[in-house]
Amino acid sequence: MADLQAGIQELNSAIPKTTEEQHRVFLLKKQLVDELVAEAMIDGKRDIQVEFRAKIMDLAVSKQILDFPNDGEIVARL
Amino acid sequence: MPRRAAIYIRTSSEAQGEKSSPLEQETDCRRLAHEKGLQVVRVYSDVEKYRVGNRPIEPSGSRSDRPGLLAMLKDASRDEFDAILAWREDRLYREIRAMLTVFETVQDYKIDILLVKETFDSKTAPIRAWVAQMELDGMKERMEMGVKARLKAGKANTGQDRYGYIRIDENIHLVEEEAKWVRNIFDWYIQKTPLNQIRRHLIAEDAPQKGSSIPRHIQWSRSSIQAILKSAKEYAYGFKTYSRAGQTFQIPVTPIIDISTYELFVKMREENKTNPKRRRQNDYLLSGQLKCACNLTWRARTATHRNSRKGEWVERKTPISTYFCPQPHKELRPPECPKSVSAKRAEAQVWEKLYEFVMNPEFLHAQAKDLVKQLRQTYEHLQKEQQEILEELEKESTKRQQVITEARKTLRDDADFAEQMRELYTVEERLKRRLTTTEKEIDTYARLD
Repeated sequence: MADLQAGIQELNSAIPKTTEEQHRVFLLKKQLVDELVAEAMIDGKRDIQVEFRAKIMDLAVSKQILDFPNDGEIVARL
Repeated sequence: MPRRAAIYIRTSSEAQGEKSSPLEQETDCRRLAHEKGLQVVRVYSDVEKYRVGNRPIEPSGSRSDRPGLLAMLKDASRDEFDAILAWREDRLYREIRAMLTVFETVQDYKIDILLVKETFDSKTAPIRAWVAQMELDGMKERMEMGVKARLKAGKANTGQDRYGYIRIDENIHLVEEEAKWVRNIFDWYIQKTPLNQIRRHLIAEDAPQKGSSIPRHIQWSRSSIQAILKSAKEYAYGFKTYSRAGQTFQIPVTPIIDISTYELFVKMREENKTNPKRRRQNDYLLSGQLKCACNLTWRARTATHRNSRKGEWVERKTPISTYFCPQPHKELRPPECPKSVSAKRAEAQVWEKLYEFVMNPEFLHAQAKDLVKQLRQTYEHLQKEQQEILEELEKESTKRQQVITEARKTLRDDADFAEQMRELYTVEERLKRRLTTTEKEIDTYARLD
């Protein structure tokens, strides 16, 4: 968790100078978005509600538990 | 207490002519249930096509992903019935994999299978499943050969009718009422009329569309018009293409548009191709993530050119990226759909929220704690349930001993003894099944620790 926080802060303060650097920063950001964002829903006023997921349980195990919510993930809407 | 039974019904095109309508299957199964003293608790059926991905699939016996079958097996694992009733074995499965799916549940939860037209024997079932599969394969092969032979002879007896034509028996005939609109569509296209305007013309003038059993959501969708335009060659040279198992067949039909129109159309089509210069690869942070009330995943594009005040097409100093809703039809777009949003604005919003989510570990910890608490509660509940079942089993065992002792002392007659023992056996079997399910769940939860 601490690593993730440090990483995201670094990404926020990064000022890429070249296009390559810019692309590298983008790829890291994209990786984070793909990993953490479950869905982003846009409404009529163009406000986006984001559903985040954080995996705390092994997917294979959670699937075996009948009707277990969200396949072992915790979900938050912001 | 009577034993509980579930009825399983299946029909697909392969069963045509077998006189096994869903109603007949159900009636026969209910009769069997009555004869065997079973109480029917639920009827599961696979009688309609279902979707796998985007493809509609027949509920064939060779498929193990039939929704009705899966629901029945799931309920079987929850101890909702003691026996499965089916018309014949091939209604349950016609292939080894489907058979294994059924067998696994049936054996794990000690469920009986009773058939109306046959006697079920679990030992010979795999052989019969194999024979059934061979029979099905043979049937498919024969049908395939028949269709190919007819197509080779220039006869069309399969496939959907193209707009402007109708298939009557084995011949494709022109429908003048539709052909008129095909010509109009091509004429409009050649006159550089935009697709949306062509659509509006067709709707305004009430052009007929091909009939469908499902009512249309929208009239003259863009894709319907595109499909007509894509078949320009077939409309001009007068043929219909059929593909079957890698082979292509062409059936001659009456042409609808003339060759000169077709040539003009091809020229126009070439001119209308998107200018590659205008395309631009870009990095979109939310690709595949953003959705709106239309429930469609938004796409992204970057505008690199614009119309100047002088009406010239000039390059933008700063390209503008936007996310947009891919719904092309106004009729299907709810008022809450904003249609498009600037990529910069959307990405900034999501990134800000992601930052807030990651930098706020207390929130995550609280959620995780809740989850662990919930898991512990379920685990404890399951353990308690296991204990209760074991106690009930113990009681049943004592009862049985008592019945046997009384029978020995000739306090009970034979018929009464047999009835009592049967009842006790049914209850014990049910309890054992519940115990198996509970133990399996406990095992999964224990592994989580």
